[in-house]
Amino acid sequence: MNSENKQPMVPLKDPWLAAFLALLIPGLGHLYQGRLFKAVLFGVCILGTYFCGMSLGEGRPVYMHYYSGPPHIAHEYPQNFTNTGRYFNYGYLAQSLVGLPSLPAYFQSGRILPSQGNQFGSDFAQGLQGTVEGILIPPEEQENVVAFVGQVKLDYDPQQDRFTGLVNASTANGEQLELSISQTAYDTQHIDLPRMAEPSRPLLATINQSSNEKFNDWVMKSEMSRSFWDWYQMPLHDRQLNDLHGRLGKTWELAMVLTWIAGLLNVFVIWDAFEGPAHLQLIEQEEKPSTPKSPQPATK
Amino acid sequence: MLLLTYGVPLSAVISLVYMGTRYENPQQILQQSARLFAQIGLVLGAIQLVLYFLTISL
Repeated sequence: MNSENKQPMVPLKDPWLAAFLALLIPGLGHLYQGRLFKAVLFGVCILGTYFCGMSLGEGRPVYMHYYSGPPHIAHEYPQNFTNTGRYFNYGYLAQSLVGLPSLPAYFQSGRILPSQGNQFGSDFAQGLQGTVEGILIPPEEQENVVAFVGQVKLDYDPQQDRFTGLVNASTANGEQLELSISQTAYDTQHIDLPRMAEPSRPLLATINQSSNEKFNDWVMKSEMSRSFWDWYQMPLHDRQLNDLHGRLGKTWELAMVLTWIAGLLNVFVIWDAFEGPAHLQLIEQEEKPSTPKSPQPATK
Repeated sequence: MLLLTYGVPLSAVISLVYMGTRYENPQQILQQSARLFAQIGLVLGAIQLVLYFLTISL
């Protein structure tokens, strides 16, 4: 063995703790052991691959369960989540090996159930608010639609079963608008469940009153933002999987494969944190000094 | 973007992580990773060429 191939001794410290930390976050076990180069290498490579996959798949390739079967209407999901097919996503076995970044999927599988408060209308009482983006559609076809972005705040009156609220909107040509909405909850039923694997929920309403009277009686077709933890790593429904496959095509497959590979690579990293590099043991064995020979009895 | 181009950084990541768990010396990790990366590239490139010539008349 020449001197160039000599390996430094590896400070494994507590191997079990290091392996556990490596399972939590790739590279963390090596950081604990003081192996900084490897900690950075594994952290950047594995987390980079994982989040590249997440980005390509619009944040949705990691999920623990998926649902299959009718109905396909959003407000009937609660029945669907309990009465029809709930299937385990076997790809999650690989994705979960990345550790903490995949852990939300485990909890989200429970949070999507109606028994955990995820029922149509269960979040109406506290009011709905968020950013909103969409178009304003004129009642007559002669005029053009107007794109807008803004903030929405809706209050719910349970006695009248009615939403009232205000949208502070900014149109594409810079015009600032205040749009007033008043609509029954029935008309707003397409608004979806509080928690679903969609970063936004549809909001379709007729404008009662506008700061620019031109927009009175126009229809607002928009998407309202959903809070991050109400959609991130939530279980997907067939309808959503079909949509992702249709829109993203092979990119969706690539996104999932990247997250799988990231998890599987972390198995090597966990083992390295526990046992040290594979070639180290061979070198140590070869470099072990030979046992001294027993002294020969002196002859006279 | 051509999806195959994602194979280049992916091969680099797989080479680096795999060799990172074989060796401890950073220099040796990088050298062996570069070698494995080239090998993966050659094998995949050869398969790509074979598939290209097999399907050229389709």
